[in-house]
Amino acid sequence: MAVSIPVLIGITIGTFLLISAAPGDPLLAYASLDDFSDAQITRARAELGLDDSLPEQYLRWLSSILQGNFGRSLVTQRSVAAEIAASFGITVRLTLLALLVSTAVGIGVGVISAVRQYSLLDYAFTFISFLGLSMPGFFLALLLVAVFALSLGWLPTSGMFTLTLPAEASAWERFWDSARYLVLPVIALSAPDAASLARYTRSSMLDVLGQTYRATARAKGLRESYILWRHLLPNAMLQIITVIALRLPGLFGGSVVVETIFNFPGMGLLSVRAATDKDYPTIMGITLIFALLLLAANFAADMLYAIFDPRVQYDQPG
Amino acid sequence: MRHRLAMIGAIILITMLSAALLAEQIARFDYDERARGYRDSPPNSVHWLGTDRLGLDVWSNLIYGARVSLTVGITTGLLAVGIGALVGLVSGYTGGWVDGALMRLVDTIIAFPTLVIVLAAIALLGASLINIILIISLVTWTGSARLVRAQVLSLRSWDFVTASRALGASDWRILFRHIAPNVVSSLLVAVTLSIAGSVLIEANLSFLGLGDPTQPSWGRMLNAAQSHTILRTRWWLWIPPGLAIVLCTLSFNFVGDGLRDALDPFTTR
Repeated sequence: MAVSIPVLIGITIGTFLLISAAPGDPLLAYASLDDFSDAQITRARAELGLDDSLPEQYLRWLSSILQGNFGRSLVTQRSVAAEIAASFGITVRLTLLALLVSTAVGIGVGVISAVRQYSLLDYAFTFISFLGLSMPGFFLALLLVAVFALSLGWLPTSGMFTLTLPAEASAWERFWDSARYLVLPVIALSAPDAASLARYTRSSMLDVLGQTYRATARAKGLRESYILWRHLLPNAMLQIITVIALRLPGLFGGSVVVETIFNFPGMGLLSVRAATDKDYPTIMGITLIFALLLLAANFAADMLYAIFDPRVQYDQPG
Repeated sequence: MRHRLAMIGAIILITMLSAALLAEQIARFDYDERARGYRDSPPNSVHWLGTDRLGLDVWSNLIYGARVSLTVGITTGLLAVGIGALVGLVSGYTGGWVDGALMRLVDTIIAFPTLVIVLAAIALLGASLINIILIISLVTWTGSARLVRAQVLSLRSWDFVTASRALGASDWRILFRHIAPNVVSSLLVAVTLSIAGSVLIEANLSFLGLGDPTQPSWGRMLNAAQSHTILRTRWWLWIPPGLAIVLCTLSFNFVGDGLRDALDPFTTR
């Protein structure tokens, strides 16, 4: 992913082509009104630049995007940029929390599975991982809601905070309140990701466990736990970091479903609403933002990789 | 262990496939036939898995839903891996600017979160079964393209390729008669895993209300079950379709994993 500029251009071209593929001429709605003559419509088309060639339209669209102008929502009439700004933080917080949880759980489970290869625990973890990989996020979310929110009543079913929270509630109470609302969405979102990371960590660790430097460390008489933490994990981590960026698309996709079920007004819920209402400017704006986020994450992963592996140097000849 | 799980997966899949093919015989009602006097009924001897608010038979919908899920899953999986294999073969064998351009295209498609770009495309083009199949394939072929390209890159420098070139074989012949057969086994694995992924994406779409509205579907059955009353008191409306999706994708994943172990000469067990 080092060559990101062509990809960046590719992303904008792809988004633009999808927008131009949107059915319906924006001026068709007026064509049936008698007040508008054909001549007026022709002039309006020219003024809006609808007669220009596709590349010209693309460049105009790109320059308005670069100025932060994503157009207006066909449904709310608010600017798409404002709609996205309002929902951006919610999705980013949810996915980052899920990423943290799934990283911790996935690596933990994977390492234990590898160290205890072919034990009962390993088989149990393997089975659960496969279950997590095959379980659609929405079914898991509905199961969690049915058990922990509806039957046991431990956690709230949906929303982001208690609407009836007294105004004099302290900051701590507010934090605790919204944390309770985050538990189920974060579990539902992180489970499939944790499952795939566990599989990946297990195979990376098995790879590392077979290396000769492990035998050397043991021959020196080092403790097994020391070898694990100082010699094996750092090497396995290198392989694991490379997949962090690969895991984000799944998390973003999962956030669409999880936000819908738990009624979190983030970009995922917004994209479903926009898709249902055929609100093209909004859905394309969100798609573009998601793609840019992923690109940024890839870039960050490349940087992390260089930090963790001193052998990696970008753009150095020789 | 792996072997046994793959066998169990294969048996489940064969059962589901037969059920989907013989839906008219196995389902006890039409999927859109409303049973009067049997609304919101728990499972009984007539309606094995009960009925919903409209009196639709859950068991019959489950069977017809298998038909839709498997049709979408299998055609999409084959199409996506087919496209990916073709791109990967050409890209890996040709190299140069063709390879560069195709791989940037792959990078670009991967840069979009799958579900989000599929949602956007469905919103633009409409949610017919054909559109769903085409859109998911056009978004998910990238993985197998990379896989095949990587294999071709190493295969093309093998002696048997040089030998056939020395004998005057055309590029076309080398690529499709000599190199392609060597990537078939990994494609088989890619297809099963791709089918599992496609079944999940279709389920997600119909759960979000963006599937084909004219077809019975597992995801849509769960979409209808989002109310708290149904979640708490009418398990037969949402647990069976949920389990069906899990079982279907789990089986494809098990079979794919088993195939990988069986076909990979470098895996020691």
